[in-house]
Amino acid sequence: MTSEPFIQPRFVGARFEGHTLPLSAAKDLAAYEELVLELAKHLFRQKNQDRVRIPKGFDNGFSLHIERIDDGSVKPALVAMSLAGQLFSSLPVEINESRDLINTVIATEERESFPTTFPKGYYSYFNRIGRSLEEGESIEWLPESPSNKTVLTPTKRKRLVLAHRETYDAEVDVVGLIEEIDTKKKTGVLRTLEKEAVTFVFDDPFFGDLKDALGIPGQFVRVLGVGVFDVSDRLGSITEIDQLERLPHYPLVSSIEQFFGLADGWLEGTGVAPKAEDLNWLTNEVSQSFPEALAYPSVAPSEDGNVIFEWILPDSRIELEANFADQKIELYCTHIGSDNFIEKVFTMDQWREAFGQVEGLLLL
Amino acid sequence: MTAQSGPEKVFRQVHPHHWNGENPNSVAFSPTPKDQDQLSVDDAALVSAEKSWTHFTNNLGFKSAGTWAITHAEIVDSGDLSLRSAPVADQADPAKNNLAHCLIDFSQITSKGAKRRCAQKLALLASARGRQFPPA
Repeated sequence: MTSEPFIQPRFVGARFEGHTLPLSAAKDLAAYEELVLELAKHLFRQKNQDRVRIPKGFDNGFSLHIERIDDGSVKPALVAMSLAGQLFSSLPVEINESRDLINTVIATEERESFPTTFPKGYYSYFNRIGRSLEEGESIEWLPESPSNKTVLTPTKRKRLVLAHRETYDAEVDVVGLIEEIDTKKKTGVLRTLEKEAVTFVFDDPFFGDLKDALGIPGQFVRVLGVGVFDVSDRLGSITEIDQLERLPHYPLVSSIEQFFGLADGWLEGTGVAPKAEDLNWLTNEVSQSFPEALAYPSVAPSEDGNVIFEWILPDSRIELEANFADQKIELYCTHIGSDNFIEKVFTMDQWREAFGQVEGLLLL
Repeated sequence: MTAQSGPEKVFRQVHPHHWNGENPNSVAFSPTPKDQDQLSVDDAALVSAEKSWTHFTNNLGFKSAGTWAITHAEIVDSGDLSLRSAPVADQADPAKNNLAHCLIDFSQITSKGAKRRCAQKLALLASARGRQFPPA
């Protein structure tokens, strides 16, 4: 094999400040390699329109390798590898022309015209090139350039993909309920927290968790993978699931979890913040004990570091207070029309009984 | 009605953690021992719902999801509660002055349950009236 320097992009962002390259970013570079080669073949065909096919050995075993990673933030040095002693003595010129044309496309700013020599169908490669970038991150393809560093950001990547199509692929992190599964087609429908129906495809390892969550109220799942979004950033489908996590009663648990961010003094300069160990214990309890048919309550911290679940109705209020200091659950219920008031105390291990009592009161 | 005989209607500011995006939680109408069982409100005859919110957030630097209202009659009918004018005059920091400041006195109620009953009633009544500022 022989090698020659090809390009040394710079990954910019907090994730890259440790001078390491996440594996997800390596996927971006693999997609870039594909585009370089396919575009080079296209450029060759454009120059040689009398030829029916690309000559055998055209790419001379071309592939890109990361030779080393330099500091600042992360600068992987890509070298073009080719097979020695092949039909062609070196890489075809179209490989370098391809690299330069890709740089021109990436450098195109909003309101500027894209180069006409770049085929429309190839913009879809940017569904994968730069997909690992998070907000605030970028890839400078020509970091040493004084005039144009050829910066690819998540926003620019989206614009490139949408230049000639109406959807784009991006990393997805979505929570919802599993409404349907087709075991033969390995597809399904997820209902998001925003009540949007999103279709998905899945692989075998995820079938068990999907089946267990299917059609069960409260059995939310978080899906990490690749989704297809429209021009309004609306998620339409999930084309790849990389991770699936069961999150029982996610809306209620996440309401409790927001209190991890409270500090003492949160309420008008006073107000004790709930303890992290109490919140962890409570989220575990409600994950296991909250009834499937019970509506999720409003969740509020008390000034003395407790957590209060409250069902707010036009004519009644039902509160369950997790009183951590006294290790008890306190129930208070007022009905404004009848002026009825109910007060009850449970031990801290009686969440099922306490929630059951609330279910009964809601039926009155 | 004048301040001497008690305000007719008062405003209560509600912390963003004490409402569900539509209605205030009952705990927003429940004083704590550190308040010495006194719940701060503003006399609606002396200040608008917006001014009450502005004073609370801008002058005092506290957080509020909005202003809710309850009447004197509702307070009295909710239990052993009373309402009295308690103007704030802070010579060291005049920006904190608040002539409209009043207190709902929960101190005659001894049990936690009875206090929560009153707070739930006030929250129900304030919710029925709707948020006064910002407009819903």
